[in-house]
Amino acid sequence: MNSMIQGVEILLVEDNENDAELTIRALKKNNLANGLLHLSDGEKALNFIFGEGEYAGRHIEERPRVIVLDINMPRVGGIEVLERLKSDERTKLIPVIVLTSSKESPDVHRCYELGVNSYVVKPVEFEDFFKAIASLGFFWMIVNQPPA
Amino acid sequence: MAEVKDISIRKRLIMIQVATAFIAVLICCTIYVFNNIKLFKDTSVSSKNSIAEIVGINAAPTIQFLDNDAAKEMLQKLKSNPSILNATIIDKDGKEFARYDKQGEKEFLFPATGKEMQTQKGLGKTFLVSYRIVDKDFLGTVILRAELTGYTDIILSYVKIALLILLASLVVALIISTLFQRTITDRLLSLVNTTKEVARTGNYSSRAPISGNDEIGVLSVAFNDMLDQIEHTKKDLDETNAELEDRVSKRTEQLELANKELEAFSYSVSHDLRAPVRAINGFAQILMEDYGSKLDAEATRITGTILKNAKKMGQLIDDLLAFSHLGRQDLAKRNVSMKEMVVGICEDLNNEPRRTSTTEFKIGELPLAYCDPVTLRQVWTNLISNAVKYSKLKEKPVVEIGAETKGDEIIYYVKDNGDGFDMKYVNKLFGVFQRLHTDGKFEGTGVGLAIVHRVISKHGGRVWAEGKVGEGATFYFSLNRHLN
Repeated sequence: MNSMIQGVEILLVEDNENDAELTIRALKKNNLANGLLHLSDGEKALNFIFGEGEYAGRHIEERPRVIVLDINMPRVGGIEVLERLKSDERTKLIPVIVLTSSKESPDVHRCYELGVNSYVVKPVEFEDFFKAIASLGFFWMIVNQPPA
Repeated sequence: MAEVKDISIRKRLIMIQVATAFIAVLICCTIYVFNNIKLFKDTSVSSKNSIAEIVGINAAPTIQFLDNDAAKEMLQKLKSNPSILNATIIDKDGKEFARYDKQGEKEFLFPATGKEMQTQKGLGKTFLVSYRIVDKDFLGTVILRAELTGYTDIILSYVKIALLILLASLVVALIISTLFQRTITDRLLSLVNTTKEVARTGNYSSRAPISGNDEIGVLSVAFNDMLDQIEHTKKDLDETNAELEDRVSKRTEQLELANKELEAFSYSVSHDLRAPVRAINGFAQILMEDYGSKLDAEATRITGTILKNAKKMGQLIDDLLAFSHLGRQDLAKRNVSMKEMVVGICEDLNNEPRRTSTTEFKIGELPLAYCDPVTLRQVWTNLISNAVKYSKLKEKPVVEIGAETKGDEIIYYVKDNGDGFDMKYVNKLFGVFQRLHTDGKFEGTGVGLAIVHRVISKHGGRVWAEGKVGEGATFYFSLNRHLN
């Protein structure tokens, strides 16, 4: 456990195991999955980031380089996580990418209001999905300059 | 000048009554004047007749004794009656025996014999009277010529009296009719006022006052009955309206609710249906990538089929969502250059990397249209890519795009020389999920033309198609010609 919570660069919060697996595979194929941690719901994600609950004792200053957040999750959804992150001085600078299954979603507006850094609709076709994840990882892990 | 029918009934009634009284009194006065003039003349004539008789009786002995002088002397006594102008006594042989002429009066030539003499009447100013002198035998005739003294004065005074009576009766008639017409016009006016008030305020509950059983009374009652009916009908109408409005608002509420449910439904469909499809697609792909070498030909074919179907499922979901989304989307209309839009779409299709055909596009003149550019782009894209798709197996595929103006409409069309269709299925073309081709030959979900239909319908236009199997198809849509 300890080894897993050290040096987390990408935090993937996704309740759908299949989507998570596909996402991780896409990142791995592009050698971007080092330091990736997958959590299956929003509650765990918040506990991890703020060092609470099962992650008590973890330092909040050890920020991941990017958080990839699914919107539809049981208990604590992606929007709620985003809201908590962006309203807290200590975490609001962490880049957050929201992933959603729906093009129809009325959430896109809300997410940008809350200060999301990127909003991506998961393509249905695997090839496109694969490409989208790869380019996301490439951009946020290599091209983009994170806040100090 | 105002016409008679524009004068108020009140004035007309007064005028009629006064005119009637005037004519009646005028006739009476005329009769009175003429009657009095006749009486005056008759009196004058009979008084002269008496004088003639007296002269005749007194003259008898003078004729018998042939005493001319005595007769003349007697005639001179007529001087005392100034209205007698001339007088003569004629003997039985018709010879003048004696005569008298008033001083200053011309000698009057009397008729030769008194025999034919009649007392002269008529309206003349002078007249003759005669008397036959008989004393056992006929002795002669006395003839007097007299004038109607004071005739003009008398006529004048009678006319004056008549005019006074006329004037007095006019004044009385005016007073009486002014008082009397009130009993008619006052009620009529109150009926008119009620009518005006009802027309002005639309308040059908006011009623005309009812007094008397004459025509006005009947009219008032009928008018009130009519108001009763109108009020009743209006009440019914208002109730029906209120009920309808209530029903409409309830329906609207239900519709809004249904719409919201539909939105939530399509959101969850797009969300929840896509995830498993993505997984099927993804894991089949992984199977191919990671275990491809271990799969035999049949296993590879089966995996390929899974992939292809998952892909199609994804396409179906996306198309269906796009279709349902169109129904709720508001149109943002403006003047749009169709030419620019179509050229752009054709270029995009030409530059598509997966493109296999070499379609020639012939783009004609395309007038500007007042429409929503986002959805119209969808229409053009669907029609043109359809044309490309169904003509790709031809040796030289040609897609022709043009327009013509007819009446109030611009008709745009996309024509291809592709596979075409049988006209007996033309009404199935624009239905959702309706396809005239199998997936084997031409892939598709059957939503594209349904979207075209929905967009054009929302613009108030029409869509239709013509085709022939093996020879190609033409798709038309119309938009209103008027720009903004």
